[in-house]
Amino acid sequence: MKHLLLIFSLIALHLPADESKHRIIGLSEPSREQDLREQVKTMPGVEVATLNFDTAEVTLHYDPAKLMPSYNPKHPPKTEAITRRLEELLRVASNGTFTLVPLSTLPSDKLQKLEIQCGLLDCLGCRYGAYITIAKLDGVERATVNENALLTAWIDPAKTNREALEAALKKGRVELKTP
Amino acid sequence: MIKLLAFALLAGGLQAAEPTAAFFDTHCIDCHDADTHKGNLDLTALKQNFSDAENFAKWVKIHDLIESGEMPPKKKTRPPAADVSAVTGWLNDTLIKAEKLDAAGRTGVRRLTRSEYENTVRDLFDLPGIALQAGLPADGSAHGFDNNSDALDISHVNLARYIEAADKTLDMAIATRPTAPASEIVRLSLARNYEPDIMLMQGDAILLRDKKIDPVFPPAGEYGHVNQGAHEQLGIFDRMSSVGVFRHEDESWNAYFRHFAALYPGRYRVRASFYSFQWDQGKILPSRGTEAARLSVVQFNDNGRGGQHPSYVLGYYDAPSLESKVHSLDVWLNYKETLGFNVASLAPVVLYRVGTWGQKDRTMGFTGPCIANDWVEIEGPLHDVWPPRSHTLLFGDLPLTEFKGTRPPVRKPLKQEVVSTRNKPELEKGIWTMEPAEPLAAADRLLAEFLPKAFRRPVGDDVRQQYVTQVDARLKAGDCFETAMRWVYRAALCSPDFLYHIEPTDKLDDQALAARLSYFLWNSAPDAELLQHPRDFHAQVERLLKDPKSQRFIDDFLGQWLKLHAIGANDPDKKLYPEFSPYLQDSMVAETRAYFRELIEQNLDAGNLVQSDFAMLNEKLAVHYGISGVSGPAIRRVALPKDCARGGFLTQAAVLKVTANGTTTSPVVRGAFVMARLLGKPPEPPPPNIPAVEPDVQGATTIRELLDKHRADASCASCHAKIDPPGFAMESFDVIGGFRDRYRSLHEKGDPAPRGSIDPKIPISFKLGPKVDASGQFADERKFGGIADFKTMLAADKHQLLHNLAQQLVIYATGRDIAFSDRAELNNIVARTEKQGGGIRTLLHEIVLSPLFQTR
Repeated sequence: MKHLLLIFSLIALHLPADESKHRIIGLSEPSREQDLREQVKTMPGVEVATLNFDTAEVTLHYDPAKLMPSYNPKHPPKTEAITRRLEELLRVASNGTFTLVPLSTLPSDKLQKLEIQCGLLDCLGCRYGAYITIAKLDGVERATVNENALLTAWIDPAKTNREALEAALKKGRVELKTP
Repeated sequence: MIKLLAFALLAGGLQAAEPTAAFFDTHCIDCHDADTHKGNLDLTALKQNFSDAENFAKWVKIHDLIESGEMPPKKKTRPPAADVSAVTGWLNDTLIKAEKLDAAGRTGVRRLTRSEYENTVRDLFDLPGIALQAGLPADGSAHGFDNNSDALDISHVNLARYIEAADKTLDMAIATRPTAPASEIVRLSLARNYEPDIMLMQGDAILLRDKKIDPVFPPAGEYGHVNQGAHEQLGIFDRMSSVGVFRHEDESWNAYFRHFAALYPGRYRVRASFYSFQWDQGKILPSRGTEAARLSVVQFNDNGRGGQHPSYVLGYYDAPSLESKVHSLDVWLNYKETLGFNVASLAPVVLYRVGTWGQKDRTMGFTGPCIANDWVEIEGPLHDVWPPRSHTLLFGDLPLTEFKGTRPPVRKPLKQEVVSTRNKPELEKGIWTMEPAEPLAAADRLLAEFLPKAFRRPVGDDVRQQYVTQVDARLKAGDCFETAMRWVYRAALCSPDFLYHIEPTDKLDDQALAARLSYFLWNSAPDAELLQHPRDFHAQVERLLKDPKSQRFIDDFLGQWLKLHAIGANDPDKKLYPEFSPYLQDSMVAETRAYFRELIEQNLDAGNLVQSDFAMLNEKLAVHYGISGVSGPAIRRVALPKDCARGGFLTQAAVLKVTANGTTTSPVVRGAFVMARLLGKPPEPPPPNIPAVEPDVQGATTIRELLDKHRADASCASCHAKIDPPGFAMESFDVIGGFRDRYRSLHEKGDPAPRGSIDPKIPISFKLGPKVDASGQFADERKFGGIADFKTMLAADKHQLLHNLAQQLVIYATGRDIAFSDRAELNNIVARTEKQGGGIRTLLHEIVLSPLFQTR
């Protein structure tokens, strides 16, 4: 019996790490990709497998034994617990600037693309500030911002619209450039 | 009438002197009888009851008025000189005789003042920054000083506070761990200051790298920065960038380093790097000169969430143009204290808060000076020995061992109470204390060392045994050794031997002499060297003056003599004096202190009290005085231009400010100040029921015009003829010590005011009102055209100035007013000083050598 357990353990060590795929809020602009990779490196037993800026999706590989403080191979943690742990660790590592959320259930052809021109966002902090104002709104599936102060959002038209996004930006004191 | 007076004199119980009675009858009684009693003096009713203080004072006044020739008045027949001499001689002898019968030593029993108490504890325990004064009740004041025996009463409130102060001292003094807390170096950025949103987000400050704009955080322009939290989350303010600040602190906002708070009270080394530049709509250009950055100590609130306004200023530091300058200073920080920062030399106006009041283009549209802080580094707590000297004073070389008993020493646990700092206390394992094998023998040995140092004199075995007995009682009650010793140390710190100046009735013994010398020139207890050689007067005075502790004497003496302690009693009206700033006020005080120090060090004569060819200035004051060629915040000796009105105390901004309210000046107040503080002739208090002269705050009517009406009343005229002239001469200076030839006015009819040396960023709303007339006439009818004439005439009477300074210093040094019988010795001090050139340092030596100083 002991030999059998040893064999299973050795096999387990050489198995590929577990995988968890998420949509991610915080990828406001391409330079943030590197931030995410650096911050994930500080998470125990976790690494970025794939990262797609265009879809704002990330696949994380993790070693549950290192990830979960009270890991017990006889009672492996549930997926929800793994997800909660990953979310918590990423929030701490990124000082709350990255958030893991479930993958979008809406087909991409159902998403509506909106572009909003802001006044001036020549500062990384301001761009992130404007981005995060709309990225966390219900109905916004993903968003980006660029150095020309152009905010782009892909929304679920059934849940939100341009007016709602602009209102949120104005409330956040982001000045919009009117045509 | 002769009969009446003779009867009155006899009724006093002393033999009437016939020449005196005859003199009064011939020259005085017409105006000072029961019917007329001019000046509220009825000689027919005045008894020779000298044990009554009020009566005695009246006779002294009579003596002085006759001796000075002021009485009989000039319009009356002059009495023969021999008669005057006879009557003043008789009065002099009689008054001295009466005073000596009544006096039991010159100085009454007196306790330490608040500042003396704090300094004594600081020096005794080597805790140079422990803050105790604020916890003690305010001292009164008598004869101009708070260390006067007439003012130093004591109550149960004092005693309760002394117990608290002793506990606070012992808490800080006793080591509770075998090794010193680790010293750390913390480098702080102003970007993580309170509050970055105000400082950086809206454009009051910018981030810099290598003297250029930090590209990560471009200055706010047409659009302001948004979402402060997002910037903080991304760590934009955590990159140790330099911070350039445009905004001066005000009542509602001040900058401080909120990510540091001293957990362990003690010595810290602070290093700070500053530079300055001119900001021109996004360009960084050389600055207009060396700007002044201020560092201060800020105490966190009780809840630890925020800091208060600065507790005290550490200093003003050069911020050179586009060249970082690192300043290093050793400071003492108490629990929950951090450092504050201010762009001291920038204009104190809200306009600097660019971007928040609707200006277009925010920082990018702004042009003006800026002071940058690269970083501030705090290293500490620093201990050159462990246990600290404060602990060794109390427990000698007893080893700190882990406590194994049942009742541990009672201590307040150390904990972090400031929300935003990370310096949590180190984990301490075990309770460490002193547990000698023979506690009573150890107590006896420790007390034999401690008590003489605390009491500033040898302590008898019987006294020490009383304390040892108390230790024994506490030990028997179950206290551990530390608690038992703490109990008696607290008792010692609250005992009269510690709290009072213990002086023998007549000649001071060596210990009392040493204490009198050190409390005079150090405001604190004598050191071992002084206690050992107190009668080596010349060398000791020189040594004491050379020691940095002598600055306490200068600060404390000037704080009371020239009222510098009241410098912040009122804030100048912001519309009338918009250029006023805390930096200017601190510079004012620094000037007067440095000037007095210079008079002592150079041994200059008393004429310099009112007139000199130099001043002690920094750039701020030099600009305020209209003097060019001075750069930076450091005070230094500056030669004055020939036609300059400055020089001497009377024209120093600090003196001019403390003699004014925040809006107007009054020749009466300033005149009374000069008479009392510089000439030693305090005017009589105003008679009852006479309304004060209310100045026209709008500035339409001059104070001279108002006083002219007041002086039309004959009962007012005689006193105001003496009081007003110095005040009239000082009318050339406004409430913040600026020179003026026209009054500033808020009246709409005034003329537009030129900007002069006022910073271009400061808006001006005041106007120019009536012209200043600084001319006047002394009571003896000598005339002066203005402040320069007045000072020259005053400085010509060096004897009077020196005599008054000697009097003020003797009162301060001995803790008692000058008695009538002291006058001869005071005159001797002045005469001996004059014989050696009249220098003020010489005066200090002569005071210490005099019987007035060396006798209680």
